[in-house]
Amino acid sequence: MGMIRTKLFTAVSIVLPALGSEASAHALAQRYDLPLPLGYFLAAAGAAVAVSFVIVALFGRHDIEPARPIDHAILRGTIPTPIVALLQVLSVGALALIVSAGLFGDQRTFKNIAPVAVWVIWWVGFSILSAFVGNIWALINPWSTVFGFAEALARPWAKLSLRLPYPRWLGAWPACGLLLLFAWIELVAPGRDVPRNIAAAILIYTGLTWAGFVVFGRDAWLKNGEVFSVVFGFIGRFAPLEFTHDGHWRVGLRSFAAGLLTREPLEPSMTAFVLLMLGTVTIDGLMETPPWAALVEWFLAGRGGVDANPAAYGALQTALLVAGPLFLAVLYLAVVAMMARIARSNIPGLGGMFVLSLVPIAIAYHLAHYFSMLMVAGQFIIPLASDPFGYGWDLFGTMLYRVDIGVVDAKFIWYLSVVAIVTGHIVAVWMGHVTACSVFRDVCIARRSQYPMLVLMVAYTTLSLWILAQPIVEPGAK
Amino acid sequence: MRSHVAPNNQIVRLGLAATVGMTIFIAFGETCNAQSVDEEPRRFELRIENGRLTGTAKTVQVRRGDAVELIWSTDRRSVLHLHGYDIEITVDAGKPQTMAFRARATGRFPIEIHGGRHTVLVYLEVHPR
Repeated sequence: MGMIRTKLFTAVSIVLPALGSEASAHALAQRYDLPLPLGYFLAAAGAAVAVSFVIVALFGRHDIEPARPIDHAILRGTIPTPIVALLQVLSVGALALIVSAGLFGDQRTFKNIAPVAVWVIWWVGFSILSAFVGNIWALINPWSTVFGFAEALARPWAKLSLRLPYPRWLGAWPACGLLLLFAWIELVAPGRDVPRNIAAAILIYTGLTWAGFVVFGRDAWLKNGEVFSVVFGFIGRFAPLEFTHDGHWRVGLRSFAAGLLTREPLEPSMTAFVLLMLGTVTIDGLMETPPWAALVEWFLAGRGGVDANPAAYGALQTALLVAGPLFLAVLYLAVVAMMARIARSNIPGLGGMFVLSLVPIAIAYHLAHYFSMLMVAGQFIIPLASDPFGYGWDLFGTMLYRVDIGVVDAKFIWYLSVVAIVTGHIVAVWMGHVTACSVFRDVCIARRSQYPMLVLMVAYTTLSLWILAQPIVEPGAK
Repeated sequence: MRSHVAPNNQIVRLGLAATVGMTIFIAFGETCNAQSVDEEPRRFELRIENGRLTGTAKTVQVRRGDAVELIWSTDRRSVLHLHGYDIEITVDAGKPQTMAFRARATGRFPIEIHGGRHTVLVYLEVHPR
């Protein structure tokens, strides 16, 4: 039998020093998902198309009222201040821990709490939490918390913020730029799994965010520049819990997706932001598919392959990361232009009315794509919580916890994918129609206006399913 | 006649209908999948030459619960690593080595040859039952 280490359920510990530098399509890659089998793919794609027709037919029969005002909450309540304060203290503490672990801890990816905490628990975990529970980030944003606290402390003597009027033309473009940069770090940047790099990035971003707060005031920058507030804000519109702040934190219960129905069109920069979000989510998956790997390998074949050209490979990924969302934006604007033609009307802000109806498809895909990674890689937080710096501590007695890679069966993920994506598609098509009815005020026009949108939605859903049906590969690994 | 159903209620109803439909789909799927676990190990003989797997296989496919034996032979000393299950062996030329394990977790796990660059030799696919 030879020298075999049969640690069946195990932290990927022995070979980890090499892992941090390995080329991978995503921060902390190591996703072991089986591709969605053809039968599931066809069933889901077929269901999505069939459902689209059913909804179109349903709309032919009724004269639908315009969408109701956006205040959908059925139950409202106030969150007790001590609970909010506790959550905020935990959040600020977690950020401080991550940064200090990144700076001073062991620099191996899975021996330090920073990479798993940031890439898995926070980025993947919070986006799923925001979508299915509510935008808790709004409550516990550590940068906002610390700045608010500092402002309150300084109030008797000085104002921390200049509160310059935020320029209208600037809109959410700072958040767009930061989202693109963040996506680049997540998907392309070498060394993104190295704890010290993560800590440095957090420190730089902290400085930038506080500078934004100082210049424009906290609220203006949270709305337009603090990219994670904007991201989780949009995703959180899908969620059943709605958090608002008016001196106290209020929570309201509403139906799923109700928060995505807008009466006012989004600003162009916000529309761009949503398209960028939708585009990068898809590109993330696309970068792990065999056709992309084949394209990269073909492109770099004459120059010694992928391994010999990390910079060229990075450049190709960057090009895809920029081209993908642009392509989606062009398609979306074309659909909006067709809509305006069909309706023979020139409604201002039409482009800002329909973009949110695509969000449920992206949320469903995101859940299908990341659920198993959250459940498997997320387990690393259990041993790391006991030993966040990799110093050999055992604070909670969980240091020796071994990750169970069998915690979710592939079949469960397949069903979850199919159910999530078909449901997301239904909600998207429905939202498009409801919005069209309220915009065009005429059921016939509204219905016809949605044909091009329907094509876009079916295409987006099918692409998401297709990505899930591809085996995960790394360019140049074979 | 005008319909006065609020759009969010309609969304909820459609969502419910979809959920019911999918549940039936799942229930149907589950009934088609009652199989027993084979006790005989699934054996695969794999040969590496020039740092690559001979033959055309890109995946080794087994089912969850199978006992699996991957028998490796090489033309030079190689360190092989099965990810996920995290099994690492060193194989010398002329001395085949075996990775033996029970496939308890589903998934698609790369088996890499380590040293210098990491190259995927083949993927182990553990399919659900």
